[in-house]
Amino acid sequence: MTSISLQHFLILSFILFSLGTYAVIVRKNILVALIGIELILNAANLNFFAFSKFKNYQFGELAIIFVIIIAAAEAAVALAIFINLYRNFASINPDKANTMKE
Amino acid sequence: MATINLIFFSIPLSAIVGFILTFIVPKKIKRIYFIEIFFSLITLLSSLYLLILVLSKNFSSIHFSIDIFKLNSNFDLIFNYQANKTEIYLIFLTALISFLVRLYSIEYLKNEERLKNYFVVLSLFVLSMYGIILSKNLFSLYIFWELVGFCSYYLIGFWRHKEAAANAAKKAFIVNRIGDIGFFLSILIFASTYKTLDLGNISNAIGKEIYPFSQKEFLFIALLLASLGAFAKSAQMPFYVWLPDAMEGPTPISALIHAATMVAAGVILISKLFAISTAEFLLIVAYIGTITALAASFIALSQNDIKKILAYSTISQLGYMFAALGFGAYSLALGHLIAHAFFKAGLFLSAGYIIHLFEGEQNIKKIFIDKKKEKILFFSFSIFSLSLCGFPFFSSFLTKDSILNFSLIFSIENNNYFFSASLFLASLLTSFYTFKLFFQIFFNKKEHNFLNHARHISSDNKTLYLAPIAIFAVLSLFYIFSSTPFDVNRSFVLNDITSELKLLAIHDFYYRHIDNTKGDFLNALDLNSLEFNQKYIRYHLLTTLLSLLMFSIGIVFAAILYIKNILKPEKIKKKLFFIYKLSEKKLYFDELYDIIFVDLTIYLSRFAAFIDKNIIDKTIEFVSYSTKIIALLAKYLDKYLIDGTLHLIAFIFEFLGLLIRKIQTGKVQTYIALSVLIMIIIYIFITN
Repeated sequence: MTSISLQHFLILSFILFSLGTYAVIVRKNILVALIGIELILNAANLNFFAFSKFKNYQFGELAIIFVIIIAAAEAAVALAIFINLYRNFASINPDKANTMKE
Repeated sequence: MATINLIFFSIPLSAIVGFILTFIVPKKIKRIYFIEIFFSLITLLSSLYLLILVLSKNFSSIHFSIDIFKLNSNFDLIFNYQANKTEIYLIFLTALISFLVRLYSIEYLKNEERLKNYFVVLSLFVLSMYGIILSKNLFSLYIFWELVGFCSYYLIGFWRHKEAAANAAKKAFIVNRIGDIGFFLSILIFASTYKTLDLGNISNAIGKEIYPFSQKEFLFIALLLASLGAFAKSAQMPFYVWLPDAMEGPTPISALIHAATMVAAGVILISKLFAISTAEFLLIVAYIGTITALAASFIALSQNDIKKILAYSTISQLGYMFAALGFGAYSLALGHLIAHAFFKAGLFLSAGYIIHLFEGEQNIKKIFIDKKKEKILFFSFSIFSLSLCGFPFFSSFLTKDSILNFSLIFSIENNNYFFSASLFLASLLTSFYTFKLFFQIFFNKKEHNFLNHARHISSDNKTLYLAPIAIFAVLSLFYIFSSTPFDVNRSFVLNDITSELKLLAIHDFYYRHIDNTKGDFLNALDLNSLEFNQKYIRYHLLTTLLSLLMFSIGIVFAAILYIKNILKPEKIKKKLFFIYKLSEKKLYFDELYDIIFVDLTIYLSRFAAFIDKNIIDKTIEFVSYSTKIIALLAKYLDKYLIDGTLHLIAFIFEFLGLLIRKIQTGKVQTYIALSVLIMIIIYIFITN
């Protein structure tokens, strides 16, 4: 039985990242997109963890905590934006909010 | 002396002020011409004062100069003016005649609307004449000379609505231009040769022969060219055609032109040049004068227009003056000018009066005046006529007979009888046509239904007509010139003029050049020299008798034809058809000029028009056509090539813009997808 190596972490992190990106780009519900962002962040967290574990790189754990804090703050700000979005467009479909092109 | 100067300067000054005031005062003011007449009265009185001084021997000459141009040290152009006794006589003559003509004009032209213009130009005319008389500098003389030409042009064509008047004015101007070109060229020759245009300096230079070019031939050409101007102005032989046509102008103007201003200018010019004349030049002047005297009196024979007869008689009398200058009788020429001025002005004013009586009729065959009703006119007219013929006891006898006497002496000494024969014949013709006119008007009662009865003119208006005529009649009597009616040597005017000739400081030159060529010719200058007097007295009686004979032949013929009607004029006309035709057609000079100048000009202009139309116009058309084609080419080039390229570039950018615009959807997810894509691309690039 082969032990779990750095590559396994990275592949998992890649899958998570890809799924998160997919969710952000494709889903029409902006809350799901927010969840996708969480996935991306966690993929990054996983990377940090993997490198700090396998490469003995101490800063990784610190960064993970930092990212989690950022993610919490980001979620709060994002939800506030979503409420305003809903007020303005009566929808949480990001396709409806296309006034940025103007 | 100071008062004399003051009075002298008041002459040109009041003339100038009169001219300017009349010019600037608006037209609306009625009787504006009285300003002008007032100033001309001042001129007249000043010149009268100077004349009295001259006559009482209290006058010496006055000089003044105007320094306008300072060119360089080599050439002086100072406008010198000089008034000797001769000039005073001439100025008084001009002032008097122009003043009386002005008075006459008030009545004669009272219905004229443009009377203001008339008086403005008239005063400029007289002013320029003063300038010609006083100028000692050829250039200043030339300026006034041209002014006189312009004024005569305006006044001859005063009735500009009449086509004949407009044409006559044009003719006078053009003929004078031909002469003026000559005069101007001679001025250039004088200026380049002697570096001065002052006549005194020129004659000094010639006398001392300072300059290398003062050869006789050179001077001769310059004099000849200058005399062209004089001949044109004074209507001498090749140029005389303008003067009869100038009769289209108002009659007072004719009087002025014929007596004191225009035509006198030519005589005055030659008399000014007399100081530097060579004998050959004077001989030419004598020929021209003699031929003109004869030809003009010949033409006058067949004329029936009262003013034209007078015009030809003027030309003929001017011929006498030029002949006198040619013979060297300087003083007689100017004396005859003065004598002639009075009776000719009188004749013209009488003619104007007669024309007014007959409401514009000028044909003497249709005019008859009852001499009992118009006594003043009759007496004045007889005085003028006798004076014109040079009858004893009248002013022109003194001068005209002396000129004839000179011609006799000149002919005998040169053994060339052309001069005296022509002049005596001319005096015969003169007496014939003068009395033809006189008898036709006063004695030949017309049988046909012509205008027999003169219009009635009220006595108030008559005064303005007849007063000037009567004054001229008095002035045409002998005592104006001399204390005795027969002896020209006692004539104070002529003696004054003669004495002045010595002042011209030309004697050195004159002696040298004329002594060598024509012997005793010189003595003719000095009326008081012993040798001349002997000759003069020797021929005096002969001349007088001959001229009286000529006079009587003329008057008898005129009486036979026009009073007694013994011979019918028509019969003579038929017998002498060729000669009559020659006279009636004015020796065909007009036709000759028509052929030489008018037709030639027309052909030349036709030729020029042909070239213009067929060569120049065609070239221009070709150029414009080819330009048009090139422009068309350029237009298509511009439209399709340059514009096309620009459109293509614009289209490409538009297309690109359209493409790129599609990326910007405004949708967040698209942007994210794109940025992910780009990140991937960048990653691939970096790792590679």
